[in-house]
Amino acid sequence: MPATDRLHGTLDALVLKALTFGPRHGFGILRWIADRTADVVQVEEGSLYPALYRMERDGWLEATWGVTDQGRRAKFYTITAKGRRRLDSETRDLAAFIAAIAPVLLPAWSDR
Amino acid sequence: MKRPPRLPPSLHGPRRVEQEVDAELAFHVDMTMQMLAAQGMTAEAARAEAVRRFGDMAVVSAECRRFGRERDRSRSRAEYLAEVRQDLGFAIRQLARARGFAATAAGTLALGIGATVAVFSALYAVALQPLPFTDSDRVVQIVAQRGGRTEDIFSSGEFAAIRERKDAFAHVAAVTGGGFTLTGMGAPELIGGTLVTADYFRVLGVGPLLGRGFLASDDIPGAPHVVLMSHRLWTSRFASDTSLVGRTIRLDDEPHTVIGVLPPAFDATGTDDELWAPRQLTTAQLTSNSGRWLRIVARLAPGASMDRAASAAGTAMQSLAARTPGVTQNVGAIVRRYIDGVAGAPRERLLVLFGAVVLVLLIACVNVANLLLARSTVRARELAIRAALGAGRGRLVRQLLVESLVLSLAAAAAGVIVAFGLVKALVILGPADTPRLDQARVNGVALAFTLGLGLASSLLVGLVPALRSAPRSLQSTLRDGGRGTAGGSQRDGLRAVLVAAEVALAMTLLIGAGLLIRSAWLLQRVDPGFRAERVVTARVLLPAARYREAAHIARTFIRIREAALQVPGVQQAALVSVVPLAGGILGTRIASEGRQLAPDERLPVDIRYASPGYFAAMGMPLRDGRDFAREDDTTAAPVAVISGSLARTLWRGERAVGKRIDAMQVEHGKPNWITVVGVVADVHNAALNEPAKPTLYMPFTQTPEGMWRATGRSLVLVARTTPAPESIVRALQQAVMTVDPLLPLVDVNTMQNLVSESMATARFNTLLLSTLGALALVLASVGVYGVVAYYVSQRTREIGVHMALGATPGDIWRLVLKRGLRPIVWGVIVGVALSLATARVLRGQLYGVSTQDPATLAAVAATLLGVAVVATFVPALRAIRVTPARALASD
Repeated sequence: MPATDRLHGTLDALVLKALTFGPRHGFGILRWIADRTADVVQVEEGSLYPALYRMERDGWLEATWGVTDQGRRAKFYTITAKGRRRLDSETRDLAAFIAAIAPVLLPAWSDR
Repeated sequence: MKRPPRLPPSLHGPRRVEQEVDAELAFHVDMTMQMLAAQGMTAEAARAEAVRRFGDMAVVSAECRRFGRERDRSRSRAEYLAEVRQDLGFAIRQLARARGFAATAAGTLALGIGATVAVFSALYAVALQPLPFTDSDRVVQIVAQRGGRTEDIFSSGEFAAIRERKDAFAHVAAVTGGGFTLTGMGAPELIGGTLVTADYFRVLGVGPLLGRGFLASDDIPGAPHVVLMSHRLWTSRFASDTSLVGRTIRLDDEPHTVIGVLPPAFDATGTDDELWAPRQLTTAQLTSNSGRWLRIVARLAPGASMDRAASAAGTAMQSLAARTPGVTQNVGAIVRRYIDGVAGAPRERLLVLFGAVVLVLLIACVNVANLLLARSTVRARELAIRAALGAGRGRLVRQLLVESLVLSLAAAAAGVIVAFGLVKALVILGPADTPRLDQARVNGVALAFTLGLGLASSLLVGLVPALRSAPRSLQSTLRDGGRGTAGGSQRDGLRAVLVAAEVALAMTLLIGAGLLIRSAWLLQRVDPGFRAERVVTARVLLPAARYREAAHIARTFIRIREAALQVPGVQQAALVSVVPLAGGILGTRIASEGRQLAPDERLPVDIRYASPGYFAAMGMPLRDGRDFAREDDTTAAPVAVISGSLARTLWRGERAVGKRIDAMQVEHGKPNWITVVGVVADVHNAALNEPAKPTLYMPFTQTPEGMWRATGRSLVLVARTTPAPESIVRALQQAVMTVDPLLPLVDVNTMQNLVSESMATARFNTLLLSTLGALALVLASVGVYGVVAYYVSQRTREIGVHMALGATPGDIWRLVLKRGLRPIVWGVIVGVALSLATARVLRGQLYGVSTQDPATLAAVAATLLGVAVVATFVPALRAIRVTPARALASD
């Protein structure tokens, strides 16, 4: 699997995962990822939004316009059944990838 | 599938995606800014930082827009498909619920589509499918024009001259008709065949299945006899024996080597030919421009057009004519596709038939449109409710169109089944001489045509009702529809127009059928000029190998006639070169004594050679003079009997007997005087529907030697019998065999059979067109009935009020009748105009009646009006029975 696809797949998986806890707007997704990874993973806006539109096109996400807690109109994303299936397969792939490279790059980690 | 949610209305419109992306990204920047401000940045710094973090906004937004647009496209496609699926399901449910309506409508259309497809299949097989030749559209027949007349035969010199024009023709071949007597395999048998020059199969582009084709060496006079055989003959007569190639068979009493067998596809070219032998032409013949006896077929040179080929052939003929004294210089050539010669006349008849079935289909479509319109009235409430629930007008029109599409496609499927049956019937019942009709099948082309018909008729039946019934505005529908009279008088008017159209179409068809029926009736009453009852005919051919001298041939035929006269039951026996209605006519040009005529001005006449007793045997009354006698032979002065029309043409008002005519010149320009000894009744020789042609009869005992070659040394034995003619055929054959045991009787037939065969095509066409006319009449009267019945049912209340106010049953009767008759009268008027404009296509098939025959027009109009009155009768009766109380209760 080429590295760019792995990267792509990881971003997709993070976004989809974020949405399994309920609808969020783009900014919310970004914050959720940063919070959960303790700011280690810094998803750029320039990658996030095209990914959102792409996944919406492919039917993994659905979007509705709603109102935020502060009374502002924003586009909220929800994950679809197709998106959940995608998340599952992405997660499995990632696990397999890590299992494959971990013994090579992180012998200590795998010993643990 | 779950529907994607719709975006809010503010974001709809052409710039939807752009606005959506802009709004979303702006929101994100705002949120980032707020977050940074909350962390203590100044508003200005926070904004600058938020924008910086975002990166290149233009690139990101462009990418988002691209994905967004793709999303919208696939989403609208999916939505459209889902809607169509919905419409289809709905249409099928609707039609299943109204089974009676659906069956009537689909059945009507299926009949129309089935009949149209069946005739199309026949038309395709006969006239449209290409012949099994290589590049069959490059194969042409050349036709000569001489002094304004056209004929398909050429002199051998002309053939040679045309063959030289390599610029226009890749290959040119000459063809002469004939046949072969096959002996040495049981009873002698006459087999159809032609003599062709060696290039014939190169012209057609057909190679042999077995063995070889003709070579140039086969064409040289004196070359060994060779013959090519059809696949049909090879399988039927020689059990597909591959070792036959190279062996010899006896044809016309001479051994011929079979050099090849043609492929099976070649059997299907509309000819009866089974054998082909080389037509050898001597050098003298190839330079002679006297005597025209060859038909010419050719393959166009690459790139040569038909026009160029015609002018090349014409030029070749003209330059030859200029070098030949005594022939007209006014010659030219026409080039026509080979298939037109094979399928020309049947194609015209089939096209007329095709026009007729298309008319029936149109009538069926109008009927179904009328049914749909009536139904949409019933459904007005349903449609109004759907409109109220937000279905747009476009959506409702589409829904109704999908319904008619489902209906039409179901009808097309049923129509295919109808067509299968009808094609079988057409093949069995069709005139036997229609080339390639036996190949008619409902094939892929016909199925594609059916699908096209189904789609076209769904538009025809569905479009107007759909546009009419889909509510234009909610308000008017609810106002009207609430009371169950949607469309009101406007829709009545439309239905009346449809009925008028239907009546007009039926009228056109019925007038065509009427004209054909009248023609057939007149044809039945034509006096053929002979009495056909109890006359049997059979051709006797004397093989060239044993019968060479004219005297020997004549003597043999005299003995054959004498033997036939001895057969019990034979009243009279005689010989003739060709019997009436059997085809194969010889002609010449004659002049009468005392008139100087240029070659072109000489009168064209049919010639027939006959024995004494022929006129008596055929039942042709002798008007003046005498019959031929035994003494009219080569030693006596030449004599002739002429037909009444020829006598009138040559010597109007004078007695023809004793006068002399100049015919059959042996040496060009030197008169050959023949004395007229008798005048006989005119006979429709070519066909009953063609006028009797001037005919010259000569005693076969005075036949010039060349004529024996042209007729293949054959004459037809004609016997008038006391018992049924079929019963003495065997005795006649035995009588002939007492003269020569190897002579077969071929083409045994009765004159009565020839007469009915000559009318078979006309009768078949008349039958078909009458059936279609009757169908049209039924469909049209159903349409009329429907409209009037509907009018009455919708006006029950109005009629009740009329009656309450003192209207008599007579008044109501008139009201309803007027309503029903108006569209019919209009239809009749339009129908008359339509048929006056279109009946021209029938001209070739009519006999003794003009295309604008007033009697037929009047009879058809009266029939239609009568049927229409009957169709209005039932609903009108119902209207009269309306009582005011019932009328009020009906609302």
